Amino acid sequence: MNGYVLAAWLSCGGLLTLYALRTLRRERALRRSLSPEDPKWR
Amino acid sequence: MRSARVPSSTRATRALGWSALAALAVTTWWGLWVSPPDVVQGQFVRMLYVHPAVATMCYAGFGVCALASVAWLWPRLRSPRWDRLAVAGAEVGSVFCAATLLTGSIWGRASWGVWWTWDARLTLTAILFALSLGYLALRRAIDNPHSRALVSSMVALLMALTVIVDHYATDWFVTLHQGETLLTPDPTVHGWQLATMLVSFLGFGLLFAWMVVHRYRLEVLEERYETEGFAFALQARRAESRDAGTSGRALAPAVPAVGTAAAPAPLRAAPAVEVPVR
Amino acid sequence: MWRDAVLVAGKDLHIEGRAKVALNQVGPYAVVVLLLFGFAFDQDRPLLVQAAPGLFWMAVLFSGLLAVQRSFTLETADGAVDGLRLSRLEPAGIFLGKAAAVGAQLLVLEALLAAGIVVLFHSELTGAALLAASALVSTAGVSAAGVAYAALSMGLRVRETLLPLLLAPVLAPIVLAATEAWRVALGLSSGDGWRWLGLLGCFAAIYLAGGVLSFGALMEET
Repeated sequence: MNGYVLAAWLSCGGLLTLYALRTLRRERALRRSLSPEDPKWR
Repeated sequence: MRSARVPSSTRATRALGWSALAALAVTTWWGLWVSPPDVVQGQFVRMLYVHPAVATMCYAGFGVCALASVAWLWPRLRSPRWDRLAVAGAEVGSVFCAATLLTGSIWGRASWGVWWTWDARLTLTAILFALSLGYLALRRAIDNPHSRALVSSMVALLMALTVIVDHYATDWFVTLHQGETLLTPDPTVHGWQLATMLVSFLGFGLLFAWMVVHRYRLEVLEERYETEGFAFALQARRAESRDAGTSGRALAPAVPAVGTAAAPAPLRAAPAVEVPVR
Repeated sequence: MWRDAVLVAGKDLHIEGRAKVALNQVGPYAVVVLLLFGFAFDQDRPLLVQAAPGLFWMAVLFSGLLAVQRSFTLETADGAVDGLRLSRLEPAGIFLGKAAAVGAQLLVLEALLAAGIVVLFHSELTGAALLAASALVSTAGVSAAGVAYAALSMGLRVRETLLPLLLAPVLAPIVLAATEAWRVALGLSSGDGWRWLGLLGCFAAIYLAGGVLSFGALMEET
């Protein structure tokens, strides 16, 4: 293994993971605020 | 108030997401352990399993944005779906673009000792990234959905045409100053290297699709929030003050004029959010 | 359309003639930018001679940003835009007129900057045909793109920061191609300068056509 290789893989993976999680979090927050009464979401 | 566990996935996206993770896991396993180091590039060949796939998805994202913008502008095809797809493609594309620049830069540092090589593709990607930031900033600055869709689709189209010019410009610029481009991946990959690279394309491709779908849904939710959310929040506040038994009654008559304008009734009646997969 | 364009161009240039903003403010700014480049490069003579074309076009880009913003501040101040919309002028004509006015101002600025690089960076302006042709076409491209993007950011609160962000990467190919063309003309580089001119022409064509086709919609929406 190599430092640069690890750096590339980790940074790339980190960036994409962060974005994915951020999108999911925003989505959940909006769903929650738009319809908290619906029992389907409990 | 109990915090709700609010799922944001359907069967389709769950399948997409898990298969993406599986493919990426295989890519990592093969990429970092199973596949052998290259004769020429040594360990650095392992960048091959990230950089090209990520770069391709970057172009795919911007391509989606451009095509969706054209579709929105086309008179008979116009629909908010295309605008949502355009922003989804652009945003996901820009994230992959950042990843491309990051991995490209590190690869350059590893192979040639410099953090930036004025490679034609890398330079073009940098311009592309700047253009996408401008596009996204523009979208955020316009509130009216129709204006936003119109203006950003035109900008996307103009930028797409500019990119074609940029392609030739950077190409000629680089060959003028450096000879051939340096950072082309080894065309003679075979065996484990080829297999891993193909799996990486599959993994990042599935991830790209998953991200675009979720970003699309996020856009749908944002639109709903903009139109319904305010009236809903208003109702919730009124309900709160009524329950607390304070002077909520005095407030209520003044407020409905605003609330009814945004049609709160359907919100109470049908709050269920069917998960749209468009 | 052409008649409207001439009308609008005339109006803008008339205003400029009275207010002399481009002459008194943008011009000196452009020259100061050249001076600052000199300081930034530590007055290294051979380096400045080599870099002169690039620095010239960067100064043009900075000036162009100001000129284009000025072109629309004229309209947004006191709500003159509505007057423009209500007049029966063809939007495409308005676009071409504004672009022409900005272009004319830029050409004057470029002449000033050319004198600047001769004086400050000791450039020798050879290959006049290529210099002039690429300058003309580049200016057309910068003006067209500038007016188009300025129009769509005109109504936004963040327009002062958004416009540079939008325009700078868009004008990147012009800076690149125009610099290369000028380097060939000045004998600093060997190669086919006219190829770059072709590229500049494509860019100008895209934005002139794009602006003409979209200006109507832009004026309504922004």
